[in-house]
Amino acid sequence: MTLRIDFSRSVYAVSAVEAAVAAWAQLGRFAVEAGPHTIHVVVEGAHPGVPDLLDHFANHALFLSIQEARRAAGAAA
Amino acid sequence: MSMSDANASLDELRYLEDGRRVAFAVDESVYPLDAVYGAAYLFLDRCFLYVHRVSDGVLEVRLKPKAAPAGPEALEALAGEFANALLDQVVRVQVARSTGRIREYYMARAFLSAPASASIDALLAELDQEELAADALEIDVPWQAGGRSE
Repeated sequence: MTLRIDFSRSVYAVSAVEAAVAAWAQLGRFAVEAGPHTIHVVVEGAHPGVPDLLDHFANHALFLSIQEARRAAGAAA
Repeated sequence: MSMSDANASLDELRYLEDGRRVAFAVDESVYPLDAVYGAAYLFLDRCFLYVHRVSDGVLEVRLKPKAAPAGPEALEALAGEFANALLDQVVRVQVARSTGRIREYYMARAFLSAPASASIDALLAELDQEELAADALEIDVPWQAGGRSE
């Protein structure tokens, strides 16, 4: 089964999505492609024992993006 | 126009729900991304969140409770709760921005005006030089030469 999700680059940091992919790599084959406005993520062979895998992954990517934005804001201040 | 008519014409939070998740648009000119981040952060432990840019200045927030499927009322309440958190975060962002310079000034002032003797080294040196005999708590040892005997 192939799962797909797109993240807006103005909301999600590419590095955050990549870090989330690294964290979830054992639960599927993740492919990331960063476009000018969108980060495309495709997951193949998702682990059947993890329901809502894409939702969990998206939460992790959002959490890391928030963390990165706050770190950047702190550094800029 | 009666009060009830006026209330009826007020725009409330417009949301879409499909029984499992609730979605609504957020105007970035009212709720900046920092505020959306702040509110989202508060909901990450109990909801799946997805934030998507619909167009310039408009974000779509989707919330899906992690717990068992919620009914329409629970989803509506969740959307309202998120909207309140969003507003709270907007105020926080605005206060942080408007008082940032003052906070920086006070911090700088506090550090710059601290006297040199406040450093730990200076305090230790001061203790070394202190006249121990003048210490009211010093226990007198009568058999020591030079010990106080009264």
